[in-house]
Amino acid sequence: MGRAALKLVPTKSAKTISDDEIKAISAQNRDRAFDLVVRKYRDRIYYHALYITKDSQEAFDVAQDVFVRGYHEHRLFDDGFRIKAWLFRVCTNRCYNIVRDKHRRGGILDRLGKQTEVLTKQHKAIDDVLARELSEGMARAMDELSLDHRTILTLRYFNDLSYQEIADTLQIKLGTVMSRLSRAKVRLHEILQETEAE
Amino acid sequence: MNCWRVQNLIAPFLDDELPTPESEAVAEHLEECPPCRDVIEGCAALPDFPRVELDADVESTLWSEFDRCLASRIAHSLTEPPPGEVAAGGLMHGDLRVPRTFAAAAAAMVVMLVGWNWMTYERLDRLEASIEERDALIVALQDRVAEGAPADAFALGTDPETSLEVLLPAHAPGPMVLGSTRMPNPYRTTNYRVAANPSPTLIR
Repeated sequence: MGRAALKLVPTKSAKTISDDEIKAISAQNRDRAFDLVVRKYRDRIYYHALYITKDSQEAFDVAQDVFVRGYHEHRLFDDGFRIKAWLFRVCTNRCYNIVRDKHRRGGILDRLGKQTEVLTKQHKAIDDVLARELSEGMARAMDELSLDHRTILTLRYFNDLSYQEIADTLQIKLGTVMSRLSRAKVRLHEILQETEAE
Repeated sequence: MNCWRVQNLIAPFLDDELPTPESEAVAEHLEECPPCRDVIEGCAALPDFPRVELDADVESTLWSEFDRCLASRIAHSLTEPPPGEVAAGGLMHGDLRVPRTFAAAAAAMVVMLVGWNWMTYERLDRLEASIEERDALIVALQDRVAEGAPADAFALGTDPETSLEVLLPAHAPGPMVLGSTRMPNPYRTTNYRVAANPSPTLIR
């Protein structure tokens, strides 16, 4: 397996191409197929990590970790392998580790050299936007939810995962997805009511 | 259908993900239960979920940097084991996460089992040694009796300094000390009359 050649791919085609079509391409050119996977899912994985970790640098590192693991995952383009659920599962587990252990993994980029000033400025700008968004009612209420509730709401209503995909991602039963999602919405509603009452 | 069950089905009901029979059962319950109706109406009226809107320039720079960093990391990882096999808070093997507490508990159990086995074998070794020693002392006493000494002329005792079992004259001058002698065998204790003898002789 040679060095990944990340080529610019028009965003429109990368977003609309299906996972089955990507798998068909992988039979001819695995690097090209991996490029398409990155283009299709990188922003969703990044934003999913951003909403859970609430830190642009952490989310950036997590998204990188996910795709590096994906590059080394030999089953990625196998028939029946669910690329989307697998990517979100790895991302969610990474985010859980970061949030629960409060262990920064910022050293990853240090191995490759000093982080560029440009990237530092981008992360600062994104953190500012996030802080502004989190001060608004709905975002602030989501911030008060438990990690499990915030994650499942993000998967469903931000990333548009189906109930079965959420079950695969979190490795829980379909019934548990339904009840956890319901409880999360009820809790969110209660928090908003308490906020309005104050 | 009760209130608890209905409130666990709010999300799929609103998302139209429930099978028809269950959806109808929920709707029927809502017609008769104002509290559940209030909850579900509140959830249906939740605002749109917030999304971070980035400037086009910021987003463009972010993704170009992302691609550059990813290419570097993948090239770097080809010379090292892939990252993420050990995650903070646990061990990862494929998709299996082993919590740190479970690993620590398993390690402690292994240490305890090894230690218990070692102690058991140590005790068995000491038991065998004490049985051999006792047998030797009995043979010595029997020899003495065969030589003509009365059977009650000697008694088994313990040297207080070395804790070794010794044959002592049963009727020695001086105070008789009553006590129990703790045998090396942890499973038996035997009472012996120990004579106050300043220089006990170890008989083998």
